Amino acid sequence: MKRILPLLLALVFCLSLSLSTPAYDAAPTLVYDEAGVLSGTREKELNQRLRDLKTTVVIAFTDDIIQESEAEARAKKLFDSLTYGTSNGVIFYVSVNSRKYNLQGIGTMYDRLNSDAMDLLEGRVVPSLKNDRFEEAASEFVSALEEILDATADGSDYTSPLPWKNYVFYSLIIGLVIAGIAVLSMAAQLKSVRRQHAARSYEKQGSFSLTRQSDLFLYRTLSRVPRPKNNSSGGGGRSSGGGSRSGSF
Amino acid sequence: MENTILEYKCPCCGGAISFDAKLQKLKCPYCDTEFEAETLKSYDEELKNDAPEEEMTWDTHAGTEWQEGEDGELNAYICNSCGGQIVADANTAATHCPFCDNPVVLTGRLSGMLKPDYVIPFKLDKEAAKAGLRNHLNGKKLLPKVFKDENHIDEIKGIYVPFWLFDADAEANFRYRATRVHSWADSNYMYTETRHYSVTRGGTVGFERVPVDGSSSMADDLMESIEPYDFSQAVDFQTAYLAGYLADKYDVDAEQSIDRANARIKQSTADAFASTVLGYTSVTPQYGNIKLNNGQAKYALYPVWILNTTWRDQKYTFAMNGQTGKFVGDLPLDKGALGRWLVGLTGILGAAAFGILTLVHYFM
Repeated sequence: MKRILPLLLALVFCLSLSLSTPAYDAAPTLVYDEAGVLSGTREKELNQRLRDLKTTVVIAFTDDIIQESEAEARAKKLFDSLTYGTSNGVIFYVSVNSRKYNLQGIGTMYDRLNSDAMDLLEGRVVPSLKNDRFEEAASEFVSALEEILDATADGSDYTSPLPWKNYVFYSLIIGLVIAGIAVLSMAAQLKSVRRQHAARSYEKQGSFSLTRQSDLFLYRTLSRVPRPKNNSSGGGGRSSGGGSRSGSF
Repeated sequence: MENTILEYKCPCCGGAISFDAKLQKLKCPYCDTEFEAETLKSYDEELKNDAPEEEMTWDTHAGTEWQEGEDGELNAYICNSCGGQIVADANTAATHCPFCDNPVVLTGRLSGMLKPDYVIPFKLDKEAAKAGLRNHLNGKKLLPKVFKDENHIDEIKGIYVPFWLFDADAEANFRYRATRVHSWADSNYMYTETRHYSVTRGGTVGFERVPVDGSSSMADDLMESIEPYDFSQAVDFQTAYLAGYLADKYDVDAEQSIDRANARIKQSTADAFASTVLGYTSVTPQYGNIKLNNGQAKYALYPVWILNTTWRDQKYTFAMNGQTGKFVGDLPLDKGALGRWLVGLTGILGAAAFGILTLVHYFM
């Protein structure tokens, strides 16, 4: 027993040491506002909303000076560092100085954020980014992501909702135009009295003779129009597809 | 003017005979005897010689006075069969006696300078004209239903309409400005090259027997609408072909008709030469000169069935080519039906378009 007692004491000591040591805060940083574009209240609110999501989601506003082509790699690196290497998640990365953004799914989320999902996210955040409304962009991002996560919770692919109001309008226009053409052609059947345009039926067979014929080249003109660029600044240029999408605002 | 009236009497029974479009012969409706038109040519001459000349008699009943100028428009004839008085306007060349319904030909209207060179005999009869109207009304979705139901033919007339037939050779020179456009692109620019050309074409083209309606009582657009006629079936004029039909002599002379013929010939000439300018992106005529040579006109009678009908106090006139059966005539529009078709089709086509858009949305 005397031999065991010191061992037990040592064990208790070790345990007490481990318990008394302050715990290291391993919780990932979900809202990273290096650029200082978020108010404290809004940052707190965003944090709360992000923690309620069922995956790790990071929103980062940085002062990075980057090219658009670097946005994806920079976002991934930032995600890894802020989440301590969490393998799955989403990052909404904005370089405020360079006016570039990246929306990226990490790990399993890469496939889950398909093209339709990216269209939705981009459609919600880019208009606010263009107007420098960063808090609104962040809030819209979270709202859109919530919709996507809910819609794909059962493992199905995300499909953007049918814009039925637009479709009904376009369908009616298409229907009206085709119906108008059809009805006009029906109305035209009622009119059969019209003067002859010419006298083709009375051309003497074989009488047409082409005795003079020349095709004289005079001059040429050349016009040149610049091709539209995909990544023009301020034009909201972007890459397409799912998983990751970068652009300018 | 010689006011002569001619009836073709059956040599067998003495009944008035008329030209049968189906048989292409003269036929007596009383004894069914048939006669070849050619063999009646001399008989026609003989009849004309035998026919007593009737003096023009003005109808001057008490209490009715001719309006100024009107007295020159109407002539009266005495029917050889029943002695009834036939009143015809100055252009009537063949008609029916209003009392005994015998077909008569007013030969004085078609003699001398007024004699037609050719006639295309009727190939289609009155029944074909009625069937033509029925076909014409069929399948017209915006035609008021009651028009079909209530529609009855007021009058069907087989008329030989006077036409001037113009022959001309056109000598033409044209100049066009034409372009060829070629586009390509590289990584930075989209290029459009436009090559400009001056194109000239010259030559000749001939036209024969371009018809122009020589009767002011026939609407020109109606007469042009039932073209073309096949002139290969025309024959030298004989009054025998007019028996049983109405006929007008021309009251618009060749000089007055020539402008319309020229316009049509020139348009066809321009079309013919323009069709030889090929391989260009755009062609714009810049100059054209058409000279007409060897112009001559012939006078012919062409067969036309005219059908008149009245609906809601409005007169509708239809015409059928008495040779080819081509039938024309404007019809009334049912605005209610037009609205219903427009709304219905818009709904159906709109629903179809919505379905296609939805499918595209979910599967592409």
